[in-house]
Amino acid sequence: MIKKLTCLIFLLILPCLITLPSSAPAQSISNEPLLTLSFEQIQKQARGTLVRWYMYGGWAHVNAWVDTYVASEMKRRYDIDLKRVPMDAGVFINKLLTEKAAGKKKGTIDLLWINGENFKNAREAGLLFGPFSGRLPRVRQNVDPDSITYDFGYPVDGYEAPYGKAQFVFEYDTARTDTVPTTIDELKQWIKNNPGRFTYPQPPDFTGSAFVRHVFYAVTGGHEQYMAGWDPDLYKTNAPLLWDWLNEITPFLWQKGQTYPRDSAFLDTLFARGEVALGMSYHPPHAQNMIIQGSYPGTVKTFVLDDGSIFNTHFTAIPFNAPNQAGAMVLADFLISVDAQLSKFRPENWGDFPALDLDRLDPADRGRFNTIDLGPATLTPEQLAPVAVPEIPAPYLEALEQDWKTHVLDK
Amino acid sequence: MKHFSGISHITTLIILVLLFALPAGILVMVSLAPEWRYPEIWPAQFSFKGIWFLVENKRVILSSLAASFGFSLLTVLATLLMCLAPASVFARTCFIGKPLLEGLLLTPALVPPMTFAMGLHFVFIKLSVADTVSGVVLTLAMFSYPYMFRALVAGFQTMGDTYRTCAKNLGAGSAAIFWQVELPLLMPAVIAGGNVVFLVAFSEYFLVFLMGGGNVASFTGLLMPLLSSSNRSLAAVLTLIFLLLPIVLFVIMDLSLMRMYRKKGMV
Repeated sequence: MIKKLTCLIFLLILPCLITLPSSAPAQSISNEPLLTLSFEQIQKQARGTLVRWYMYGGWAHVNAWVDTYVASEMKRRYDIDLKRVPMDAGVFINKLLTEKAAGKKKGTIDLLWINGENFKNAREAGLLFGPFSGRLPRVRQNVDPDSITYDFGYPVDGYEAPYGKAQFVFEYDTARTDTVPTTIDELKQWIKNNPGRFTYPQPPDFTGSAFVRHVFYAVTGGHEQYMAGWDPDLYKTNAPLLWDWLNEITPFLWQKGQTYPRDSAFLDTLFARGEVALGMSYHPPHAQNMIIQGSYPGTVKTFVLDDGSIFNTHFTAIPFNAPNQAGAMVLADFLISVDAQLSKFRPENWGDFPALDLDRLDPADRGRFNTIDLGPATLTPEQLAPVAVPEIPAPYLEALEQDWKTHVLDK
Repeated sequence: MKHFSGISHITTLIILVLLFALPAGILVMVSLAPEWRYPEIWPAQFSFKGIWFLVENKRVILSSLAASFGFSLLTVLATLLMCLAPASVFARTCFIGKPLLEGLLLTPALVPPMTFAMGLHFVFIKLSVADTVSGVVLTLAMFSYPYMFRALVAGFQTMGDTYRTCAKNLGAGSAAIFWQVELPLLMPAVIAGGNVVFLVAFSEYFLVFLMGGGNVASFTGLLMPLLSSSNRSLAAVLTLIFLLLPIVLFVIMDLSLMRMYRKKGMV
């Protein structure tokens, strides 16, 4: 009884405790003693330690790549044991929030694979260690600093290290579909001509939400106007155009738009079963991975729309209470090395695009990237680059995801 | 009359097969044929990639299964220890406010585990049991004891007071009464409650994840991310394992219980 009461009281206090640290401005200049050491000293300190890397665990091939290639290279090169822990970003952010509130100085997570939305939340609540990425020699050497200033419009400030690049693509099966649309306008017409053969995952699913942003860019005159940051008036004028476009196609969607796939995996299954004709993914090699895995037939190809295709850089970060910050920095540095990025780029391993600036590499290394065969389903970086457009700042993303529900789903 | 009961028997059987065996059968098919799709009635081609995944990852799968199995059994033990004394009091005595207290004791089964866990996590960090096996077991026990409690109260009620009085009259001390008379008679209730607690603990994902903090391996921790991915054949293979283990456990339990009773001449 008393236990239950204390539990209840804690439940009531908890939200206050969680919101407290977020009101304090996050520090941009660090006084972490580790960051005054040279990277050689950090490597020396990390020798013989264990690094726990918390990351999304839903991709068996990515798990296998981390468990085999990354783990064995970390052991061989730096004498570091790597333990991968599958955990969704939302869960580890919650865990860190509670640990911060309870004042736990030594946590369990060393390195996180984190997305833009959660990075912003984590930074605002002071959950991250840093700034550290400027201290990593391979980031300084191989990465274009302009490509890592913002993560979903939120300043990175060295609290994240780049890990890979992703870009949005559509998927279709050449055995079932002959021609595919090339613009957003054509897509609308195509959906109307093929009722029941198209749908998108329900936002806030990562992929579905990205699809909605593509339409938002295309029907409101491009991405440039949003890059300056959150402008409520601009949003208020432009958003109705998006809702009109989406509501116009709703009756022609799968299940007449009365229901949407819960997440992108559900859409993949619909596409694999042939219920819808077009799939989509935020990862260019996704279709090729699915073919290798046996879920898609070998006739599946990918395409992008001329209106633009959103790309982003994905990152790793270190929690404020990571027990092995030195080891985490060595791992983050290794992940952006030429060897790791090259191995990650191979479609049989993962196919994830390198976050390196290829122009900064010496010609021999650049050549190694160019010789990789991405497989027939994946578009080349040369095909993807001309249509690449940046991600929208996070406040727009959150507004779009929330309003999609009122203006499209509940309509 | 006999004819009629035969038909209803068959109908029940068909319904049970449709409800339980058919989905399992489909899981087996999906695990062997990831490309199986409409309008094929029978998969056009089979692949053993799902099985290969099992072979390649057998170390991780077995160790996480063992971990899940271990902390679930510990949870059963913990709930048993927690509930024996209160259940005996509730079954045997009457006092003011008993229904209210009984209702309150059942709340953990009704409150959403998420709410429950956030508050507990905070307390457990303060007590330094977060991210340990004992933390996981304690949380799961706190959350699943009502199932054990209900079963034990029912067990004590069926047993009644007569055996205890009888043993006392024959000169048995309270320890002997408990170990030699009451506990054996309570076994069916313990098994019934324990089965439910085991299942709840074994299939819990979020609580184990939050309290174990990734330090405590669990089979659900391995399974859940793959379930939400689009790799249907892997998800199916792992779900089959997930189904199989408790079934095997229950069969073993049931058989050993029957043997024990036969030996004692109780059946």
